[in-house]
Amino acid sequence: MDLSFKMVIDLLPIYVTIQDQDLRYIFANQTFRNDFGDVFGQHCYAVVKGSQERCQQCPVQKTLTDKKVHTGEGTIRLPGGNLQQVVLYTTPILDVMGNVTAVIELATNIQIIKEMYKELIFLGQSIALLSHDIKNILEGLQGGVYVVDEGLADNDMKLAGKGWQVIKKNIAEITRVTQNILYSSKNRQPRLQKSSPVKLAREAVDLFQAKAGSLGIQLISSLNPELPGVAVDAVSISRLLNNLIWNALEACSKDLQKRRHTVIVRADFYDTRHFMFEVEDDADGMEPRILDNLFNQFFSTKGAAGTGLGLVVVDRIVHSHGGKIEILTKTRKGSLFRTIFRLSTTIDMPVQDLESMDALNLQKGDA
Amino acid sequence: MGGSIVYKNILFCTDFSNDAHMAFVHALDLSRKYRAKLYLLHIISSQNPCSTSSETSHTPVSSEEPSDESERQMQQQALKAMIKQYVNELDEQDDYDIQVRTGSPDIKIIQFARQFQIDMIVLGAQGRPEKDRRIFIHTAANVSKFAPCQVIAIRSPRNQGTDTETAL
Repeated sequence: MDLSFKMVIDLLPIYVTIQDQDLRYIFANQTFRNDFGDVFGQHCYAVVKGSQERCQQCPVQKTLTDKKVHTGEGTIRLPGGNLQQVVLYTTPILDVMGNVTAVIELATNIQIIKEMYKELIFLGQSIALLSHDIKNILEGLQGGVYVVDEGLADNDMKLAGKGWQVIKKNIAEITRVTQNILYSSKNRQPRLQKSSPVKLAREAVDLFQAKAGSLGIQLISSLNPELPGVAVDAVSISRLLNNLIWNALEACSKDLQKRRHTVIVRADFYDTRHFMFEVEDDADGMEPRILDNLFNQFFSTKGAAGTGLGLVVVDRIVHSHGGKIEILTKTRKGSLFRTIFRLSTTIDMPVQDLESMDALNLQKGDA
Repeated sequence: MGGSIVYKNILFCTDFSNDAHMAFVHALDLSRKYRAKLYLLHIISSQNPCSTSSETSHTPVSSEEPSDESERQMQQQALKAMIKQYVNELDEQDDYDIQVRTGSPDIKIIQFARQFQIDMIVLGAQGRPEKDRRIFIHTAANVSKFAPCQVIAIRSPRNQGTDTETAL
């Protein structure tokens, strides 16, 4: 077998490049050229970052400066626009005087490892959040049982009835938590069917009227009856709305600064080709730093207190439909969660194919 | 007791409506009075609001590449319209910056206000008639509620008399 060193380097399943002192490519192996084309003479930051300026944290520049091997992690942009996380190693090429003339850079794709890392952290966070939720629900159930027992012991059916309401409320809570666990535990494909956004929003609002009333919160809806039917996974969208409304009601119930609270649920056109749901509260709002990491927190830090799994599920549902979440918030003013979806079809699939999609999902047994 | 009010950065947001024209007069007047920098901002609707957003500026401060050529052209057209509409009116207001961004107006205005440490936002209360609008969100109401600074929403005399709403 006739293998030259160049052939081996070309075939390595990692990016191998050499850059000169001006950060221009003077060599790239075949793997790199397959993804980025002929880059000879081009600046590295233009090719892999799409930028006109040098990167601030650049191991190549460090190696050029101190002649040492450096490592780092970074994100590169493929020509199609997809981002890829890589780990980088750089090593200097020295001339006879010991000066750095160029730098060899190896870049290995670690996207899969990062995804696994995120999933593991998500799992850990989920368990921590669930433990907290379940503990609260169990305490609620115990309290309800105690009140029922007292009522029965004293033959006080009114008291027993109050205890029973507490038990029913906590059963509803554990149902919600369990549904969220099931939803977030696997990558669920949307089961598209023609649905009315107005009907879905109205049902969600009706579901929470009793809870809102018991908390003294006004829950009102503003639904545009002209919204047409859309192709969405109705079960998922209902869950999305339920989670957003539940979060809004919880935020209001915890805000002791105001006597009265209002939660508004809207379903309307966003523009001529998109529709939106909005859930707005006048609770305590969020700090900007929490907002910036609202969905990432579950993956990277301690999690946003009080939001539970609900927002993770909302995030997954929106992304599985090719939609977008926008959030407005201000401390002491409240928050607005807006989800935007396409009107025509919510994923790249003609509406007439929805029946076959349903059949496919049913065959897979995807609950 | 408190000192005098100082506004260093005033943001005027326009959708080229009657209310916006009236808001511009107020914003310019306030900028001159307080010798503040005046930012003029227009938000255009995205071709695909579910993807990333972009921005264009007259004197670039920060920029992201528009997602496609048509979006780039829309931004350039909007920038030209802004310059044509407002620059001649600025007269001695030398300290100004014109910017165009793409996305949901309320989100983009509030992001802009945070990024440029805006002290006051001036915008039209009602915006364009519904038939001429491209995005159907309640921009003035949402900006008034969620902005990190003072907001003045101006209603043009043509729209049900003259009144001014201030939200802190």
